Amino acid sequence: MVLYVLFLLAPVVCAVALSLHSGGLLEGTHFVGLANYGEVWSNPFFKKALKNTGLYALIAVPAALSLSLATALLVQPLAKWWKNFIRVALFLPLISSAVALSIIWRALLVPGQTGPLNWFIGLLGMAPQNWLGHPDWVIPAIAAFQVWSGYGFWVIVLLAGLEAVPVQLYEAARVDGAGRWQLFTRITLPMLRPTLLFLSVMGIIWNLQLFDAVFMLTRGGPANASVSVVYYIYRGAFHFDQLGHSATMSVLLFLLVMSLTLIQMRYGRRGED
Amino acid sequence: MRSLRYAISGILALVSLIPFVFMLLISFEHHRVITGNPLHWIPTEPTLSTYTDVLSLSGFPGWLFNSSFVAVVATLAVLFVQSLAAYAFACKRFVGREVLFYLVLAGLMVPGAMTLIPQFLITSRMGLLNSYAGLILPTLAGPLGVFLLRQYMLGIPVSLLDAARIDGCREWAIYWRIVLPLSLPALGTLAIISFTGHWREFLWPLLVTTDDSMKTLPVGLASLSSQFNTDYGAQMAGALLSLLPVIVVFLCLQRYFIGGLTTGAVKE
Repeated sequence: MVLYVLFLLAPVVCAVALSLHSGGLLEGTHFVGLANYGEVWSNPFFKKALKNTGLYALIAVPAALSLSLATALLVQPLAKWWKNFIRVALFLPLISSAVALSIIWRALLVPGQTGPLNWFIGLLGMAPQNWLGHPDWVIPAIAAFQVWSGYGFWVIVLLAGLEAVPVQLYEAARVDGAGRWQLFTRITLPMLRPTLLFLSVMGIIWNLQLFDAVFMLTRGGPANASVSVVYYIYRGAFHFDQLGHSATMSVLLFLLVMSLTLIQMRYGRRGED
Repeated sequence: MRSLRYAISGILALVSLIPFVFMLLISFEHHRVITGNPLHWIPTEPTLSTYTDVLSLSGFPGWLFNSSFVAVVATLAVLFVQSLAAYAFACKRFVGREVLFYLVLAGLMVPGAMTLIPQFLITSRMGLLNSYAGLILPTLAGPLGVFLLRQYMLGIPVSLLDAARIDGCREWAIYWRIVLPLSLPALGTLAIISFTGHWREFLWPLLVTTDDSMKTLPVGLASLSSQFNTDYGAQMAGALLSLLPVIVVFLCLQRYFIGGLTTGAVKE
């Protein structure tokens, strides 16, 4: 039986060993110790990628959070079949590959008068933009794509969270004379706090790992304006064969993700008390 | 007030759906340019040649097979391996169990981008580039599934397992005939997460497959979109064909998909 258990555990141990190895393996191949870290830290392109990635998260996460909260609150009291329809509609982007979605959006974001999005904002009286070709627009455009393709997840999770709030709380508060706004700020928000926290940390972590959309929509262009950290790691390792540098960056990314997860675990737990 | 809620949420659903409608309409004509007005998306001379082009001029049928094969086999393997591990963590006592389990939990924090390079080096040293094993094996050791299944299996009464043991049930039979059937809901959730995850995965197959015949759909689709660079219709046909299988599976099993997603998320 012991043997059996050991055999079951092997894959898990393997995964763990692998995750522990990544730092050591690469330093082993290059024997440069911490020198990589110094170099990466002073590398302007890495800083650019880091700044871009931060911007993606900074735009996408609050946008997705507020939009999905509004949507969930909006849909929650409606009929069941309609809620299901909304869920299904918002779920479609979630099961679709980012590659296929990017192909669609690349066409929707075509620059000039012929682009569907430009046609639409033209109806609203706005001038057409070169969404993916202009350094100022490319980050908001990709962040918007991220929000569009991911926000269904947020809505569905928040809807489940809303349904878990005991109805008695609202009834009691209403008896005590609480208004709509008070119900929202004093009951709904505090009850959703762990869910909101979970979603924002997950959202940040996902956006820190942004790759598919950048690869498909812009390949990091124009002039590196949209390079994300993972895209930079990928390009460094597999196009320019700088495995050591890329690995160093991935370790830094790991530290970032780990600290965010630890923060979430600590505050999430406090929310449960 | 209520009708306003319906209207606004309807618009939001539309925003999610329009790109899919766009894809469907555009895919029936060879388009060199896209026009903004949705009325012009409706094909005037609908044709299926966009689809036949995609299917005959690229490796699409092979990619479709690869994606299906990888997603199905990997999902079955994930269920098997991770449920065995979860069973050990939930129902067995052995030295170092807690430590090992914390290591697995720590694995939840490791971003995919970090293991990418070492995983690639290991896979290539093992000579598994451009092989199904290379596409599947590195994805099997996921901490999420082990965690999810273990939490579920902890809910199975120990007395049930003891009773089976007294009746002379072997270890394997306890796992296979008692624990697994009782964990079906959690297994279903994991199956869905794993299947869609493998179907959508892009970065890993992009690295592992250099040979066109070994590509999975997302990787193939990426090369297809440069091959049919000037033909939006064919690109959309390819995208649609690649999405169709999961969309069909999803529409049939939507309740499980959505339920599974929230159990996975609310569990935290």
